[in-house]
Amino acid sequence: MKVKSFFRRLKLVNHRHYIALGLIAVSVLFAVFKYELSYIRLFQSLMDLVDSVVFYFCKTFLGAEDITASVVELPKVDLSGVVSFDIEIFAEKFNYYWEYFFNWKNFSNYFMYVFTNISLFLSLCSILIPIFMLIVSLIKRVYLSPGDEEDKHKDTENLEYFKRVIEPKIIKAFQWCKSFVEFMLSHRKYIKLLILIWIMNLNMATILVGVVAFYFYFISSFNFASIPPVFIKLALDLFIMFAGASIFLWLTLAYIIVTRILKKRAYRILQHNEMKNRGLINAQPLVTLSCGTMGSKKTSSAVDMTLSTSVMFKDKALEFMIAHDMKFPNFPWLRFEEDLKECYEKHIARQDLIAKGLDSVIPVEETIYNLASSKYWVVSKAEAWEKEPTKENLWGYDFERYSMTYNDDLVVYHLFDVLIEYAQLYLIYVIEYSFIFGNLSVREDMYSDGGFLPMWNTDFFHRTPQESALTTRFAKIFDYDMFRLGKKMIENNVNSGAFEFGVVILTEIGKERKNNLENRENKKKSEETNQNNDLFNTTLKMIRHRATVCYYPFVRIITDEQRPESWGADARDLCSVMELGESSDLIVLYRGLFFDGFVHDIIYPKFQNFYLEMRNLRGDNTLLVYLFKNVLALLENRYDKLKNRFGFYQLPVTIRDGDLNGECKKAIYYISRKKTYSGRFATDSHADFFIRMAFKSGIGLFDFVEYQDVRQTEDEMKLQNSYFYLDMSKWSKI
Amino acid sequence: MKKIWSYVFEIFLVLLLAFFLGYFLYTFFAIEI
Repeated sequence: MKVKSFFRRLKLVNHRHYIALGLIAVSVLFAVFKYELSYIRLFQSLMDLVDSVVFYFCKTFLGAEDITASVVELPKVDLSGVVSFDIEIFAEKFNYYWEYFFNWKNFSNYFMYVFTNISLFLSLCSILIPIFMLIVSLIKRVYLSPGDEEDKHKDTENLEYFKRVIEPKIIKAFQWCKSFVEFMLSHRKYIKLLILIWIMNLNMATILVGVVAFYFYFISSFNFASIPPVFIKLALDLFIMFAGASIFLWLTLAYIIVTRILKKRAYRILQHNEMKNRGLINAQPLVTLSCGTMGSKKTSSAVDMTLSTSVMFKDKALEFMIAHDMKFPNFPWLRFEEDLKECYEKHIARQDLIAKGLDSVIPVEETIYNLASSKYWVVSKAEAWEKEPTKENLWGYDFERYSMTYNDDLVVYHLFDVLIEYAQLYLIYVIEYSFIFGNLSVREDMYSDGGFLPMWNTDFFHRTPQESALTTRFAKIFDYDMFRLGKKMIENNVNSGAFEFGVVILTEIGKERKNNLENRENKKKSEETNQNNDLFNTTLKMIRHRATVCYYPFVRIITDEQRPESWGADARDLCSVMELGESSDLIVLYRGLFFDGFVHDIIYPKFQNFYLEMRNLRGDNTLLVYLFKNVLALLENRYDKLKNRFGFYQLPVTIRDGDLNGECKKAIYYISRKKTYSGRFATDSHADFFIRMAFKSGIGLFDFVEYQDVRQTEDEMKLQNSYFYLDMSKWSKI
Repeated sequence: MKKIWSYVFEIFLVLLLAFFLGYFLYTFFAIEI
């Protein structure tokens, strides 16, 4: 019974465990039967390490003189499994190496050796290339023949068989491999064990131990004469290592290492470009206007700047918080932060109750919802402490032992002055809502790790779209009344006056605010709200007053328009105008190694031509095209992903003062595809309005009237509803 | 988009590198003692 229940329990175990254990067992068998030499060398290397450590202690602490270490001696091993000569000859060869290397006869022998092998390869090619060309021309002849109407939509017999019999097996095998990889990744102990065994099997462990052994020997002896023999030893171990596996394994390993290095380099450059962008943004005044023709990436650059600024505000807030923390190093900041968080939660609860029409039982003084309420809350705490100066009223801070003031040699700050600013900074830093306000929607995806002092992940380049979607937050709707100090669109608008800090992105600002010429008709004393009586510009001029914490304005207004003159000079003079030049072509920092680019640049266009012609001629589905198309689609998708992750545009910008006079500065703005185009904004953000209009019209291209000839008739001109035509008809009456 | 000749040139460079690296190894085995 016990045996039966044992086997029943075994059956319940995921079978992948057995496969992983099988792989480990096979690796161990390899170690015993194939890689014996590696383990002999590993043992010798470990002995060398022990010897070197003893040498190090004797030399350094006991001052021994006449001792030596085994690490500089040649090992005693049988090399018959690796090379055809023994270890002494192996070492001796190095004495003659350079003599042979620069010997012309040796070189010509090598050349002949290579040439003989190449000629074999070339003769093989001379047979294979015509066969390949013949196959290609046959395929073209067979496939590019006009198909029959009755075959339309039908799969050929071969394709049908493939789809029915072979494809399910391939898919099943692929899914199994995928699930096995996922299993191994979630059971890392198997991977670690396998890697460890193969590091030892392939003699890599010997080399690592040897390096450490030599380190201990060298730092205590400084014997430079020991370097050549150690190099011979290293060469021997490398021989054993490379002889241990097929060249394909080493090429695969080299591929993995090289691609990792190149990807890391690409990420570093993207990050560097981001930092250069931030430098450029910081050098601008609080209001910027991006100008350029349609399609010149002006909204892209505005959104990019908005995203960077939002991240910069978080970083800046944290920087100031740490500085404040250091002013009172013994203050229990975490307790203070917990109280602040409680006040945010109370505000949310209070708003919920009000929304439900219930009288809130939470007094507004106990809630925090913006910078002003943060300040008043701390002030109320200061008053309470002054009335009753106890530790409990000061979050447990021992004010009798530690200082209540901080002197920076400019001003003496009281603890509560610093607490007011800290509370405001904490709100900016910790709040999980986007503080981007826009007349278009922008998607942010930074997220905090939820630690005691949360850390924000503000990385734009590494995350997958699926990960990014999990932390999506959209910009807040920008209510223009928030900026209107004068007349407002809605009287008693709750939002007016509520704006304090954040990044404001206003696209097509000129169409909203208009210029002086267009606003001439709008009267200041008008009953209706207009651009002349809403005092929007006054807010712009004084915007930093409401957003300043620690002398730093946590506000930036980023706008775009096609022509700078479209926005009235009164407001535009506050800006720096960034005129966008012609964007570069897409620069891809990492497009895979040779193969990926070759498929995209050479094979894909050729297939596309063939495929289009075939689609034109035939309506049936064939196996060859099915296979080729699916494989190519996979490879092309891979290339597409690399292009989107590592691609960026260089945008030349000319920066001028808002009055459009003065010196022009040239700079480059970098737009990363991964950062700016991963569902961040819609280039047609105002499309909804036009879609509704077009839908309501009820007509389309089918219904528009065509010209009857190249010369238009007067009736046709009339259909244009043109001013020009009206003028012409007036003139014809004269 | 890169042209086919740039790929041919890339292959040529890799083969050239392999040729010279191969010489290092060949020399070692060619030494007669």
